[in-house]
Amino acid sequence: MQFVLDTLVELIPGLWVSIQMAAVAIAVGIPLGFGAGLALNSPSKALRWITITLVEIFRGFPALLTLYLVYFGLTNIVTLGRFTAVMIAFGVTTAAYTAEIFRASIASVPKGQIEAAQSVALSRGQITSRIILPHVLNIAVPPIIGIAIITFQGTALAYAIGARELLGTAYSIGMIQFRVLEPLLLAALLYLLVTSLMAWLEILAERRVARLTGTNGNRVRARRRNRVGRQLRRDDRALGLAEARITP
Amino acid sequence: MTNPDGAPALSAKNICKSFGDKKILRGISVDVAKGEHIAIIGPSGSGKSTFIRCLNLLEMPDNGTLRLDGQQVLDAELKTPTRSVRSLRKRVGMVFQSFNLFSTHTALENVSLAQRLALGRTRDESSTRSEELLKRVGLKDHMDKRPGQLSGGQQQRVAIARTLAMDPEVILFDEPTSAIDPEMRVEVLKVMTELAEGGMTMMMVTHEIEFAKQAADRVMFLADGEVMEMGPSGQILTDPENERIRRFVNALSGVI
Ligand SMILES: Nc1ncnc2c1ncn2[C@@H]1O[C@H](COP(=O)(O)OP(=O)(O)O)[C@@H](O)[C@H]1O
Ligand SMILES: [Mg+2]
Repeated sequence: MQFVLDTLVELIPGLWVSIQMAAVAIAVGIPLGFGAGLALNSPSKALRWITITLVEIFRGFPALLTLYLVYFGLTNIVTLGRFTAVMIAFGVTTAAYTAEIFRASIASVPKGQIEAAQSVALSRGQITSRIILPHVLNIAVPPIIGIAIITFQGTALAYAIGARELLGTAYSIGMIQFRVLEPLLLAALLYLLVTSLMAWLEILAERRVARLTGTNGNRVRARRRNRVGRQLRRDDRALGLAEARITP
Repeated sequence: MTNPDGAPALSAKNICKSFGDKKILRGISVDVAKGEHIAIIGPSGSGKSTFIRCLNLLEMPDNGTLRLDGQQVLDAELKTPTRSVRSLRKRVGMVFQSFNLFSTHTALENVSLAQRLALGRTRDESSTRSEELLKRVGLKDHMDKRPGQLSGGQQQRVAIARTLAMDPEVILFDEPTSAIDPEMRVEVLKVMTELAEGGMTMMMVTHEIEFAKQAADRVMFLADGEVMEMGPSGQILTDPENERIRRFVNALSGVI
């Protein structure tokens, strides 16, 4: 029991690192993703194609590969700290994952509202920030929280470059103490705690959207079923991550 | 606004517009005097919406010139730097068939937003003005509601207030009552009648014959992208000479 408590205390700094990594990745990824969403709705074909290509690249690359590329691949140009590398790699990955959500929510802004904004002489920038952005923030928050959950879990990959995040901390405690199961289970519990909290926020956000858009209960229930599906897919991913980690 | 040389509030010459190879407007011209009210009627698809959208450049005409109060805002080469597109839109208001209120903003914010962002009024100035306008259109108790909580008639009145808040020289209306339940139309028409009586220059696409008879000075009948007839509303709406217009007006009056 003492071992469990001690381990838990030792895991807290690791959890904190994971949370910080996820926070910066999301802070970088969301504005980038919104920019990509705007570009994907741009009338310029060239801009759309460049953006599609970038989005597909960073969605196609395993996040770990992107992280390796940033951390090891750029050493000839710049030497990045682990935290910075994680911020860039996962920020870009998160941006790629959110781009499609932003593209769809930007496209769903009623055209008439944009014309009305033009008719009262708002500039393009003002229309983006005052009309499109609030609309997008209303409807895109729940799926973005879904992506944020994946980003948070993804921070476990940073162990592969030696970062002392939650999983890395748990694993090294296990190695030192020759007891791997308890630290890993405790780390799992902490991951679950954070993701449950985020999933709860996602439900609240969904209810808010339903209220604002007058969506009926059926749609919300359908979304909830989707969420169960997403959680399963997430679990698959997490398993994949664990495998990737065992053979470093 | 002073008007020493008696220039029309709005003067459109030879407005042409095609979508693809389909000619929608085949050279429409009109001079709207200060304080004049012109009703535009015509069959569906005749180009009424396209025409008035060209007047505030929501559609860019392929050809034609536009003058506001004698001042050229679109020349024959269709040169209008973005800056002047925005300054034109400050002067020409637009009320849409489907209201197009900003759904994420309250009624008050809908009316205030462009006052602050486009006219540079302060938050206080714009709120005071918006409250005053919303009271004037009978929405004193609905200022903090979002569009989704308002009826069609209420939304359209917010939209009119939003346009009025810009202090436009001309207001364009595109079938402002057709998307509203019949029993709610009267409250919108009442607001429009008051505006007309107050001397606002208005161009309105409308199929409310009784309203047009009473509020419009002149009627423009559009068919196939051309002005088929233009004349005093009393004559065109009660005793049209043209057989096609007579049938159209009779059909509309029959419906109402
Ligand atoms: N953006 C557009 N692209 C292509 N065709 C259009 C567009 N807007 C209008 N049209 C066509 O132009 C014609 C006139 O439309 P409109 O001006 O809306 O007529 P009205 O308002 O008199 O009913 C219609 O045939 C319509 O299909
Ligand atoms: Mg129309």
